[in-house]
Amino acid sequence: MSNACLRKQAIRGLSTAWWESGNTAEGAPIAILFHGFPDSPATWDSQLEILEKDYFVVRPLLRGAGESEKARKLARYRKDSMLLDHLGILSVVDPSHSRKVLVVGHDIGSVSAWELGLALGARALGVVLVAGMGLEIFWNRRFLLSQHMRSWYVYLMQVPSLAENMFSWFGNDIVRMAYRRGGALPADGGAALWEELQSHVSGTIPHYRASLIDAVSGTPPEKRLPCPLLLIWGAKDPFLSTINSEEWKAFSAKTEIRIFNTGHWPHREKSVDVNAALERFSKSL
Amino acid sequence: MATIQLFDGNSLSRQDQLQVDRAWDIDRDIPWLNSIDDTKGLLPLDADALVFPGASVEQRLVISQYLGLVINSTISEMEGVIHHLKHHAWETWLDEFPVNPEMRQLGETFFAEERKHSLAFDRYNEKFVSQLHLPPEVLSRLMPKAFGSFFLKAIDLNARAGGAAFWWVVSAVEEVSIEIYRQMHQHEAKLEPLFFCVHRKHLEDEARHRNYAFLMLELGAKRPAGFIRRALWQTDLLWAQAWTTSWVLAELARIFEVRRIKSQHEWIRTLQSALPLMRKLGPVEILKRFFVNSPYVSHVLNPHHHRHTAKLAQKQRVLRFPWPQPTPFPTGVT
Repeated sequence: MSNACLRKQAIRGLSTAWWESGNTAEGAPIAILFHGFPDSPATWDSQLEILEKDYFVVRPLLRGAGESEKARKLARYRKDSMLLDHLGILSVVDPSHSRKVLVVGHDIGSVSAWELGLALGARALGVVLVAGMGLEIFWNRRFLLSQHMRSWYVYLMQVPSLAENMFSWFGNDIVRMAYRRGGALPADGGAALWEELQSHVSGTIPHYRASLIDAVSGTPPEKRLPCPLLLIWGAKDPFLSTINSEEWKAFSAKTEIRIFNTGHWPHREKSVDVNAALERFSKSL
Repeated sequence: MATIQLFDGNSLSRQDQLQVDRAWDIDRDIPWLNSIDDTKGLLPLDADALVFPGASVEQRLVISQYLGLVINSTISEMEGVIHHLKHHAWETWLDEFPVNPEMRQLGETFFAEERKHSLAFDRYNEKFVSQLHLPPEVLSRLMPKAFGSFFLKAIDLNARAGGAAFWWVVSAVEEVSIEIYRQMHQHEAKLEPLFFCVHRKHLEDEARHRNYAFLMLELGAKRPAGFIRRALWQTDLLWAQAWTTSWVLAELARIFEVRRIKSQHEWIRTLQSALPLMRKLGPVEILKRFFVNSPYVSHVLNPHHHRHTAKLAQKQRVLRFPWPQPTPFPTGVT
C-alpha cells in the first residue's frame, strides 16, 4: 500500500470513510473494493499490488465500521440506501461520472458490490464477488437447507442487542473462531485480529438485519448484471453452500467461476492464485 | 491417484497443455499401411490360454488373436460409451458444481482422446478382418457391443440421476488398459507389431490422462448431497461392478456364435475347434478363472487389479463387492 490515504466525507448526512490508493492518472478506471464481516479494508492488502497498477483503488469502510459513522435507523443499512452511499463515494472520487468502475466484494460486501454493479450499468467494467453473492441469489437459496445451516449466525444476529453484547464480551474469541473456521486465522493465532477489527464489528451488525429484510422482500426478475462477472469461491467455505453455476444464469450473462481449495477468505489464503485470476479477468475487460 | 489438485487451475492447465503437446495423430503416428502379421498373436497367453487347457499351437494363435480383437472392441465400446454419456455424467456435473475453466478444458481434451482411441481400435479390428479375409460377422457377431445393452442403459440412468457409476467404470477401464499393456510389453517380440503399436500409443495417452476420472470422483464426493443422494453415492461403485461384470460375461459368451459361422473361414473353424477344451474345466472353474487367475478377463472383472480405484473407494468409504484376491498368471507361454 504505497500511497494509500484515508478519506472522510459526509455522504447523505453521515460521515463516510474510504481508503484511496493506486493509479491517479486522469481517467484511470476505478476499482471499488467492499470488505465483509468481521473484516476491514485491510482484507484487500494482498490484491492492491495488482490493482493499483491500473486502477484508482477505493476501499470504503462499511457503514458503521471504523470511521464510517453508524446510522441510527436500520433503513440506512438497507441495500438501496447503501447503494446511494456508494454512488455518493464514486461521485466524490469521479465527479464527472465518466470513469469505468471495477466492483469487487467479499462476504456481505458482495451485496453492495452486486447492487453497485447493477446500478452502474454500462459504466461497470466488471464485478468480482469473493465468497459472497447478491441478495437475489441468496433469496434463491431459501429452500437450500445446507445454506440455512451455514448461515445460522445471520439468524442469531437478528435478536436485538444480542450480537452486540456477545461481541463486546467475547469479541476476541468470536472473531478468532470465525477466522479459524473460515481458514484464514493467521499463523500467530490471530492475536492482533481483535485489535484490528474491534472498531469495525459492532457497528456493522445491522447490515445483517437489513440484508435479511431485503432478501425476503423478493427479487425483481429483470435485474441482470450488464457486465462480466467473476465469482471466486472457496471449496471448503464453512459459511456458504457450494456454488452452483445454474443459479447464476438468470443473473449474469457472462460468468467466470474460479474455485480454490480454501475456506471463506480465498483472497487471503491463496492471494497469489486469486490475484492471477483477478488480473486475467481485469485484462479481459 | 489424482496427482493434481481438483481446484489447482495452474496444474490442471499444465496437464492439459502436456496432453495437447504430446498427443498423437491417429493417421500420422500409427503405420496403418503396414500389413498385419497374422503369424503372430495379439496378446500373450497363460499356460491354459485362459480357459482352453491343452490348446494346440494353431488354436492358441487364434485364441490370442480373438482375445486381442475382443480387448480392442471392449476398450473401443467403453470409450465410445464415455463419449455417449458426456452430457449427463460430465457437463451436468460441472454445471451443478462448477470447477475452474481448466478442469473443463482438461475434460474436453480427455473426451477427445477417448474418441480417438475408440476410432483407432475399431480401425485395427477392421483392418485385421479385412486383411485375413474374415467374414464381417466376426466383428458384428463375436465382438462385444455396449450400445443398446442393459449395461449402457443402467449406467446412463445412474448418470441421469446424478450417480457416479460411470466414473467408477471409467477409472477401472483406464487402469485395466494400462495393465493389459504391461502384460504385452513383456512379450513385445512375439506380438503382432501394429497391434502393439496401437496399444502403445493408447498407453501414452492413458498414462497422461487417467487421473481425470479420479478427479471427477473427487468432485462428486465433494458435491452437496441430501440423504438419498449420499446413500446412492455409497452404492454407485457396487452397481458399476455389477453391471460391468454382467456385461463382460454376457459379451464373452458371444464366442459360442462361432458355431453358426464356422464354415465361413479357417480362422473361425480353428476357434470353434477350441471350444470343447472349455468343457474340461466346467462352468464353476471357468468363472473362478475369469475372476481370479486368467489374464485380461480377471483384469476387468476383479477390482483388486484396479489398485487406484480401490484405494479411492476405500478413502471415500463406498461399498464394494468382496471379490477374492487374484492369483498370479504368468503370460507369454508359447
